[in-house]
Amino acid sequence: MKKEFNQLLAILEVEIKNLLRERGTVGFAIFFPILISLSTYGVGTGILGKAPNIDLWFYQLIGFTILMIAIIMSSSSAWYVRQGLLSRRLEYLFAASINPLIIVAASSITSGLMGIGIFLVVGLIGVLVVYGISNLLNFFLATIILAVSLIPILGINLIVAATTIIGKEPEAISQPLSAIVSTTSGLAYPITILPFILQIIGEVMPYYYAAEYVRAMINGYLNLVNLESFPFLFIYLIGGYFIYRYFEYNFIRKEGNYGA
Amino acid sequence: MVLNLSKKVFSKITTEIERGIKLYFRNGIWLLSDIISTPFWVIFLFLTIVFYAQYLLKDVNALTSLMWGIFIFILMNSFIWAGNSIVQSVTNGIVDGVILTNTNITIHLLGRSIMSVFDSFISGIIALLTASYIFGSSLLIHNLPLFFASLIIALIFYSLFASVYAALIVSLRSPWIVSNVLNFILPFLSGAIPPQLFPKSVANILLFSPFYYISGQIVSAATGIYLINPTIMLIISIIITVVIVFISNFISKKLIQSMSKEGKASLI
Repeated sequence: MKKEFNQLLAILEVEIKNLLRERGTVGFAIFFPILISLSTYGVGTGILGKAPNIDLWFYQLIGFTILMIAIIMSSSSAWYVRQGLLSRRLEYLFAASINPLIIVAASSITSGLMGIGIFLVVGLIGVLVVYGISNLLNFFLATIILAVSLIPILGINLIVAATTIIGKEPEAISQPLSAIVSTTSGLAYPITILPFILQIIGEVMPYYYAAEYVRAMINGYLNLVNLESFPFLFIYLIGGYFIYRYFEYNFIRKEGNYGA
Repeated sequence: MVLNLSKKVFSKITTEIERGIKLYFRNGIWLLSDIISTPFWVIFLFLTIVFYAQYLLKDVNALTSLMWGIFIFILMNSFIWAGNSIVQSVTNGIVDGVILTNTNITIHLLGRSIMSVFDSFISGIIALLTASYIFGSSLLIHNLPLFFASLIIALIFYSLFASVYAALIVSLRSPWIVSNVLNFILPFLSGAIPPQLFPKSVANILLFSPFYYISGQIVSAATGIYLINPTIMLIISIIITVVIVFISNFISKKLIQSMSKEGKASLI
């Protein structure tokens, strides 16, 4: 176990260094939720002829930030695999005495850490603008809630990584996932305005709960009753692990699918 | 000699178009991805835009304009990424070959633009059908000849715009950031967000944007809602397209000259 943990730490270090070199990506990820939420707020102001309630802007700001985190997490797994395929790094990794799961987990944890960093910057700006310093403690607790909520999403990342090894095209794999998550998870609007079937899809995915818990925590009305569905989300982590393993044994290793 | 030269250019153009068609259909997974993603993105965009004014979900005219707005958004987005593809051409050393064969960058990007055309039409049709089914937008086209004329003008304009855009971003470190930002600016400048939803003074700002005459014309022809006289709009859109032919040609030549001079056509 100690060996695996050391391997995870070593890969994490490399991934974090790699991330620090990508300043443009990090900058854009921070800028994007602010830009898009202000754009829709501007459109709302134009249509209504007066400035809408600023709480609505905050609602979308938090939602778009979580959307950005979801996109980064799913895309980063897919792109990690793609680059690994092109550079033949994946061939060596599958042949090495290291569990491929550790590699995928390290890549996902890095993007998760980046996501939390983004949330800290964007969310802090939003909280200060809308609530001043009064809700700051709630905001920091919400960041912890978000960090825990991202854990089940690692399971989805494992599935994305496995399907990318087979499908080869990272964007083509992560794009449908991003589209489904964006639409059904109540990030930019409440899911109550969606058709019933899309509400169900949203409610079985972890992203919806991440956004709901974070908003509730910042506003100070999150209690243990709200969290009752939270443990069930860990099914994604367990399910993701088994699906990844299934793909790995039956398609990736068997058919040598990890080559360029 | 002139005949020989135009034959050469024609041959290069057909080669690029063939390359684009082959690239698009080589990876069936892309098509599948578009078919799954587009309906979701359409619902997402509709509901995000009307988030502050949900009463618009009962206004068929507004919903129809929004539907065509999303159609042109898909079209513009696809060509922005066609322009962005120059980065891959540079990274993969393809631009080296383009320079060596004395090919214009605009011609080189045609292959990628053809992919954008396929992409726009497949995703565009899915978007129209989704919006009509889920939100009840009307699929009737108000002025069919003008609609097709404006669509052809837009395809020519955005193919050339992609090459101008490519030349402007090629030396940037993270050009995809600019592409993403442009994706959010263009809907405002092009009439993708229906101008009739805004007060007239705000809507009239669009008249100063060249993108409105190109993209907004498609929406106007489809919905029958015009900010200015349709004939004047058509003439202005043709003039803008002619201007971009010259700009694209000029910038493309300058880019090739500077790359040849500085030897910066490839990353390594």
